[in-house]
Parts: sequence; C-alpha cells; structure tokens
Amino acid sequence: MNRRRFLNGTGAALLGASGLGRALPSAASSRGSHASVLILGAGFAGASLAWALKRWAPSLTVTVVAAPERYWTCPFSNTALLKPADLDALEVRYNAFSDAGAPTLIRARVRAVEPEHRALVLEDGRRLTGDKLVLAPGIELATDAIDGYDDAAAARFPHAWEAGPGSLRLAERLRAVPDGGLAVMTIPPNPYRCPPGPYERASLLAWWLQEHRPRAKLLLLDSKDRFTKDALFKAAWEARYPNLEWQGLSDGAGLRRVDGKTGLIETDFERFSPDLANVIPPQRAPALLRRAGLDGGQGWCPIEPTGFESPLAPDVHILGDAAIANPMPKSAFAANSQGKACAAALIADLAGVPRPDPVLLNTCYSLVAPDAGIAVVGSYAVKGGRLESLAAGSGLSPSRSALGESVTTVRGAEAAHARGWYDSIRADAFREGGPRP
Amino acid sequence: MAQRWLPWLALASLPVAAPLSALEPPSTVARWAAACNGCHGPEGRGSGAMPALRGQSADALAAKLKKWQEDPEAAAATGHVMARFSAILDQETLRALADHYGAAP
Repeated sequence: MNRRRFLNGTGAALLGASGLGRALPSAASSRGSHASVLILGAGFAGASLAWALKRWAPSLTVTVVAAPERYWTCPFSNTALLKPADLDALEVRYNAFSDAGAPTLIRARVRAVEPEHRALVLEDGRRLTGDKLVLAPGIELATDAIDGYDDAAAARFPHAWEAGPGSLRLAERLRAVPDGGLAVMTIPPNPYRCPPGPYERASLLAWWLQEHRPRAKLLLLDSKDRFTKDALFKAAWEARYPNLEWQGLSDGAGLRRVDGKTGLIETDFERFSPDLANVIPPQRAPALLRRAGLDGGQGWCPIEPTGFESPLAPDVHILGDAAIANPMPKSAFAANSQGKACAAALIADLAGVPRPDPVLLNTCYSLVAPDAGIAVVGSYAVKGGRLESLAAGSGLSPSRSALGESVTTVRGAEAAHARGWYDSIRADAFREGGPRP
Repeated sequence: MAQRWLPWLALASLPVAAPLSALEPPSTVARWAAACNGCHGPEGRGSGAMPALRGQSADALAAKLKKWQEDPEAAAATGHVMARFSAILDQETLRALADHYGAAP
C-alpha cells in the first residue's frame, strides 16, 4: 500500500476521528496537524510552487530551502552585459517571504537529498522532511565535459550562465575587446537552460560591438545545427549584424578544447585566439539529485507529467530546469507554469482526489536588439502519459518577410512586451516587484 | 515499513487544525488564471506594455479572446502570443476567465 492510497482511505478517515486524538498525549508539531510540502530551490519553479500552494491551500506547511548565496534572475541578465548597472534590478531579495501567511524560507546549503524519506539534509546537520518533497534546484554546469576547462579557463572565459558577478566579468571583458578584435561564444549541445538565451546574448553582444567596436567581429561556435527561433534570429542577424557569424556542428564548430592560460579555443576544425571568449558549458541536473539516483543515470531527472512526480521516487517531485519535461523548454516561464501545475497536483494528492489536468504554457521572449523582440509560444497537454505540444497553441513571432515594413513596429512592441513580461513573472513568482532594466 | 507508518499514526493522534480532507485542488478557472498571470502578473494586474486583465470588463475580455480564436491571422504581429493561447481555450473556460478577471476588484 502506498501512502497516497493510505491517505485516500483510512488515513483521511482517521484524521476526522478527533476522539482518538484527545485520548493520546499530544506531541504537538506542525507536521502532525498539517500536511507539509518541503521544497528545494527558490528560483522561478520553487518560488512559484511555494506561493501557489499557500494561495490554494493556506493550511499547508510550506518550507522552501534555498542556498544562502545572492540570486539574480537569468531572464534579462543578457541586458546587464550592455548596461552592468542594470544587474542590481535583477536581484531577488525574497522580502515577501517574511509576510504573514508566506511560505517559510530557510537559506541554507543542502548536503544530501534522501528521496526514500522525502528528506533534505542540510549542511549544518539539520534534517528536514515533508509529506511531499519537491526538488527545483536548477542546473549544474558540466565544466568537466570540456577538455582543458580549469580554474584559469573559468576566469578567462566567464560563462555568465548563472546571472550575477559572472555577468559583470563578462561585461568587463566585452569592453576590453579592441576595435578590429574577435569575440567568440561557444554554445552547448541540447538540452540546457534557456534555449534561446545564447542567441539573444549573441544579438546583444553584436549590437554593442557594432555601436562601440565597429570593426570587431563576433563568432558563434555552436555544438548543434538547429536552434530555437533560428530562422527569426538569423534573419535579424542578416539584417542588422554583418559583424556576426554563426557556425554550426556541421561546419566543424563543435567545441573540442579550451586553454585558459593561452586563451585558446579549439573546435573540430579550427583554433581561435579570441580577445573575448564566452564559453557556455554543457549542463546537467545538480549533483545533489544525481547522487540520490533521481536522474536514473541520464544526467537530467525523469518525471511523469501530471504532477512532475519522479517515477523513481514516490512523493518526490522535480520541477524546472533539472527535470526532463520535453517538449517544454528549460525556461523561467516553463518553471513558473510547472510550479503552479505541481501545486494543484500536490494538493490533489494530499487531499486524496485525482489530479486535475495540468495547465502548462510557455512564452520565451528574446531581444534581437535592445529595442526589438521575438517570441516563441508553447502549450502542452498530457496524452498517453506523455507531455505533448499542442500545435494550435504553439508558434513563433511572424517572420520579417511576412511583416514587411511593419517589422520595426512589431519587433519594438515585442521588446516592450518582453519587459512587461519580466516585471509580471518576477512579481508573480517571488511576490515582489522591483524596477526592471 | 514501520518507520513509514509512524508519522501517520502520530498524525492521526493529534487535534486537527486543518484536516487534509479540507484541502481542495484549485478550480479549472483558478489554474488557468494562474497561468495567465505568468505574463500578466499577480491577479492579472499587468505591467508596462503587458496589459492589465483586472479592471477590464468581462464582456470585453471575452470578446477579445473570441476574436483571437476566430481570426488568428488578424492577431498576427504582436497578437500572436494571445492568438495561440486563445486557440486552446474551450468556450466555458474562456467565459469563466473573462468573468474571473472582470469580477476582480
């Protein structure tokens, strides 16, 4: 008998039998009087989940454990490469978590995940458990997958794929590129956080170089041949950025080796000694989850799509970038959407009723210039136990050729939508506002 | 096994402030509205160029969603995002969402 069936049956009945409760000495604990959900991670997935749970089931005990380090959102962090002062506005300060009725936020490092006990072991030795354990820890950068990557490489080729001080280091290196110089980005194979992110970054770097280093060149070395919104990005590049060149895997652009001491970047076909190299490493689920066996040896964690529960560990749910949620991308919007869908599923599980059909959506806005945006839209449903894209609810911004002369207006409007979206999802996920860049 | 049952026996033994049986999953419209808020902000309050849903009349919201459903081409350009999301709404949910935001204070 699993615990859900227990809750559905005798468990729920026993809970109503208050006579029994009065007869026994009470060892009062929040765990006894409420169901509890323990969440690892307070990014877009974990925070969205925590607030959705408190909204829809205020009696639940909701505890979020997040690393003590400062946290800046990855969305809009590419704009901080152009204007480093804008990074401040991207920091999430979690002020709303001290309000009455808020989820409990514990800032601590986690030493281990124990799926079989739905437990987190903190670095200070504390061990927390929940009736449900939800893991939303984001990504780990697989720098060991790049030949030659060491501390010198990390310092010389800042990835800035987790926003923060690394974004500032990359912004500094950009400013050090001489006119006539060469900047390189290496882009990892799928899957990775924010599929259009490298191409938005490339667009904005090319824009900055065009403005400030008009004879410099940006070369993209991509470890794949196709990417999200590629036709839209390539059309924008062709129209705007003669200084940008993209090479795919078939062109021999797969990354082979880096050397942080000499600054060398080596692909399948060529060697480069650029003035700036932004090496975006391949990615995987964090070691905490992999060590607990939750990735099944795949590097990312499988889930079933109605409640994002791990097929490898009952009552352990995995959200956001660490999960294999294809065809949903590893995006902030997807994480926010999954957080809410998971909240509904957790409440159903704890109430012992069937899970509702998840509402799962995605929109990814990307800037192709500071004043020009494009978007990809996705809608998803569970069919035959698998997550599938709904064709009618999915698509892209119209192409330049379809828009004709209105392209500037439309791309401008989508850039404004992108900024509005950022404010909205930031307020929605973290219950805080804050000025945006 | 014994370890797994213990907390539940303890749970059964306590005065119950908020019994699990009182938990109720959110309604269809609540779950959809939560999804809409991913772009339109908490309670659909909007931000900058992202329009507020709260404060529009329910009929006006329903009319917009229906227009996107009926004529997605007209929604091309900047309306393409909403044309796609409208396309997967059934009529009942569409109306309930319009009423949800239209009725919000």
